[in-house]
Amino acid sequence: MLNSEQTKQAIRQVLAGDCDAFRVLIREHRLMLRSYLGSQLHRVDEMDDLAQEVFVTAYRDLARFKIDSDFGAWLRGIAHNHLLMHFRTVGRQKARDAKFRVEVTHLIEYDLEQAFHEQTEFAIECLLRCIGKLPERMRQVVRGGLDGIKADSLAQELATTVGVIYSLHYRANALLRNCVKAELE
Amino acid sequence: MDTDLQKLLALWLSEVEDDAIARPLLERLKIDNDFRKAFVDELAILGQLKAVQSSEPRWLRLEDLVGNIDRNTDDDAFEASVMSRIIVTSSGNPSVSLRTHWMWAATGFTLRQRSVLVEVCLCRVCKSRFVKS
Repeated sequence: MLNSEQTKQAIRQVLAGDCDAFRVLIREHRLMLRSYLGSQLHRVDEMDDLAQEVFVTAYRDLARFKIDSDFGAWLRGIAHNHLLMHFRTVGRQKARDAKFRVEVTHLIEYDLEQAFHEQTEFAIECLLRCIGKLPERMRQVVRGGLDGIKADSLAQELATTVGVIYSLHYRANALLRNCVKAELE
Repeated sequence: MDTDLQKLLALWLSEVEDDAIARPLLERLKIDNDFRKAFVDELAILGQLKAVQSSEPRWLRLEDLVGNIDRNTDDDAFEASVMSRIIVTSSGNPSVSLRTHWMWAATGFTLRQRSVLVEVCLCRVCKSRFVKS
């Protein structure tokens, strides 16, 4: 994704000493960055803490950024490094889980970057409208996942099996992707 | 839904440490492009749902560096211009603003006196009616 004129201007302003202009960059990229981190972290508080760290690093290292390259991709690069560090820190308590996460994060790095490279903040915002259009049972499953309810608890609550919960979530995600696509068209 | 995809998502979304299940899934993730793409699509939408459905965070460390994130720089300029005009107006002719202040205070006092008078009159009317009945 190319940088918008607003992004380019804000970067120039920050580099010229106007630190307030960095707010424009935060506002323009926070939803994308939180989504990127949220795709690899379970908890919302972890996602938001790390997003803050990424913005602080970006603010301090902005002089290293090349104005004609993709600012969103640059932020995601910083986020990727922070994620690996985070997994290693957490991994002191759960070494095997951390090893698994680090390995997956490396394996999907390119494809995940491609997925977010094509993403706009507007498309992410469309999701809110699309969730409202989901059938009730699917909405419950999506909501349950966000509230951190485990699949087996959700299965008990909806009187079904864990496999059905995963399947419902998978179908709900497919419907959401199609809905966002239709909204963008 | 591919059963391997289901297993991998289940593993990713839980904190279960099971090498026996994880190893073959990681191998497939390495070599099967479609499988990896399907997994990434799921993760991407899960992340977007998480971000869009949770409230905007307060980033205090960041606000220490750049100020209130949701306040426009235009708002700051507007606020500064209003404040400077207020300061100029009040410092330009203090006697006018002081006179205006006393005028409003006097009007308020007169109105208050009148409302007390009206209340007393109404009370007397009620009382007389009550005594008559």
